[in-house]
Amino acid sequence: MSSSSKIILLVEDNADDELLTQRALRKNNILNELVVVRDGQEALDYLFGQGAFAGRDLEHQPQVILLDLNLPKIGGIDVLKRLRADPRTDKLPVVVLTSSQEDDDVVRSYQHGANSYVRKPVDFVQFTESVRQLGLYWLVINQPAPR
Amino acid sequence: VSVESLLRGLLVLVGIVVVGGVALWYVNNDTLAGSRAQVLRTRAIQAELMHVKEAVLEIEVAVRGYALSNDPAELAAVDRHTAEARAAQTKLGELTADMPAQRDRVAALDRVLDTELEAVSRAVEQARANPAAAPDASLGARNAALAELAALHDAMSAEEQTMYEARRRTALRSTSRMSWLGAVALIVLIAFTAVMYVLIRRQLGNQRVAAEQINRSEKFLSAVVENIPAMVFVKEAGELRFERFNRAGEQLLGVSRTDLLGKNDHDMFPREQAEFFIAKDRETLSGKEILDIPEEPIETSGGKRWLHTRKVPILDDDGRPAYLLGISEDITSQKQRMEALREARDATEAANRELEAFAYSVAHDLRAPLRAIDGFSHAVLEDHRAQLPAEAIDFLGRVRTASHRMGEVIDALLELSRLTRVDIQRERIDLSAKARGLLDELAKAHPDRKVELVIEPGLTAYGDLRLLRQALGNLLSNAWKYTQHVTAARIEVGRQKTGERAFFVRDNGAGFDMAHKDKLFAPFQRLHAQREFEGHGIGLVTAARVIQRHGGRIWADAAVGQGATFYFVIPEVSV
Repeated sequence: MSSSSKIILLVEDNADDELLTQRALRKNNILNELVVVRDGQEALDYLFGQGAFAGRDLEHQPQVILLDLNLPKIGGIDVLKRLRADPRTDKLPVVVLTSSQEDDDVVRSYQHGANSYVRKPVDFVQFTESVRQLGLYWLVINQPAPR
Repeated sequence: VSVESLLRGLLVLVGIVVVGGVALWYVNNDTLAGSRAQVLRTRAIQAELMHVKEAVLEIEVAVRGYALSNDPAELAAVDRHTAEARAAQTKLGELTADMPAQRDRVAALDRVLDTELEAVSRAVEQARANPAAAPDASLGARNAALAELAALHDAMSAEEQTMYEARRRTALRSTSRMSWLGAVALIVLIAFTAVMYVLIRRQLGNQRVAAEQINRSEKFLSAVVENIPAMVFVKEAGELRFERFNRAGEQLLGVSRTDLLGKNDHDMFPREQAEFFIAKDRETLSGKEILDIPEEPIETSGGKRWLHTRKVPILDDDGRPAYLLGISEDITSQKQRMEALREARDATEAANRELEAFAYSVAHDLRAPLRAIDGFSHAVLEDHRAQLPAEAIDFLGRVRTASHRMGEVIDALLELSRLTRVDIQRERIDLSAKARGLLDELAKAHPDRKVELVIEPGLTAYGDLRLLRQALGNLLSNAWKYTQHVTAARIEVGRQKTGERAFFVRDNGAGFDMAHKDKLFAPFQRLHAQREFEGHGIGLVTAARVIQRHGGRIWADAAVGQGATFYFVIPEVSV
């Protein structure tokens, strides 16, 4: 499996952040397929192959999910809970990528099974660096659970 | 001399007078009785003497008649008067049996009478034998006897008279003694009565004064109880009936004392309340200690009120509960104020929480657009730099710098807001080690700086590790920052040796004018130009907030160009 076949799922409702994340990935030469969903419901539909994503091949799950917390419809924490409650998704790596630095958000994220918590910096250079390290770690270094 | 001893003396005196009087009366009575008997005897003796004298004269008359007439009737008269004389003589003997002098005279009288009667017998014989013979041969003897009889008779009479006089004097003396005694008794009695009068008067006076005093103090106490600006009531310990009630109580309950006194709680209040009051009364009386009831509801004619009541057991001399004293303060308005205050506080807290949540979400939501501003400025610079004039490139650089600064301000604000919300978890913290670590980080971040660091070892504080590290970090960052233009920079961390033993962070940097010290701990207030020293004016506010949340205080001492010292105290116990 080539690294390019590994999907990154970005759950992000802010179009600017979406564009900046894409740019940061590109800048770091991370050319994996990036799937972007814009709210919690869409994220769940994608991961469970339902709704707009009905019939999707669930064998091909993302290598890493970049999850914002502040999302329309279903919030990030609820998405996390649903993923961890289902055997099809309970072992997927989830990186919480958000603006919040609230202790509460950090603690709840880990409590509900987040694998990592990264705060988006304002400075794009720093942001790019964060994305670089994330890509390196989750797409190259990290060994995911076998299917 | 006390009144009591005076009274006792008088009583003794009265006793003596009574006893003496009675004794004297007895003696006097005896004396008088004796005297009377003596007088009677004297009279009897004189009468008998008269009898003898008359009988003898009658005998003489009869004898002489017989001598003239030889009439036998005269002889019979002689015999009869002789018998009378003898009888009288015998009586005299009896009457003078215990009087030796008179007795001797009576004996002499007997002998003279015998002589007389013998001479009379001889004269009778002569007259019978020789009726005409005269003169009588026995006449001489009889005249002598008669003379002797008369002498004896006078002697005895005189003797009796003398004795009578003596007895009369004795009786008089006795009577006079009795009179004296009576006078003395009267005087003693008058004195006694006078003393008694004075005493009783004085006693009555004292009683009146005492009664007045009791009356006065009763009035005083009543006035005190009456005017106490709290409800005061007294119940007897048995059936807990009201015995006393004051004006404040009447006003509070809207009940007059005439309606209340003599009744118990069941007569006055709803059952549940009455039972509560009575239970507390009993508890007080059996516990024999003051009971404090901080809040109790009570039904009054003006509606429900809240009381703060203290119940006090009043014990008798044997330590048994006698009365229950109650003092109640109307705390209704106080309670309402507290309630209003609590509501206001809750509302304020809720509003504060809302405001903080709002501030947080605003700050939070500002970061995303900032990131876009910075990110796309960066993108333009990166992708289209060749097409841009130098000025546009400069402007975009300024846009990025500004957004970075704004990001920092937002982060600082978020941190400040976080500090006001997190719970403090205290532990023992090695401040020396923390200061060392923080300064090492600063030194690493600015390898070009040379700063002399003086850290007093063994400084510890009892506080929240994260918060205190934040505060200390801000103070040290400031010290680091404001010494950047000094040639021999020096930062000192230590603790005062005296007084409040405050910790301090001292630098020899730019310092500031103490005239502006009020602005030090206010947000966004800066004492230095941005181009001189970077900063957003929240670091010191954050440090102050941390110290304040620990119940401590922070202050500064500085002078322009002579460095600044920030002192802070962290109490050892949570407040």
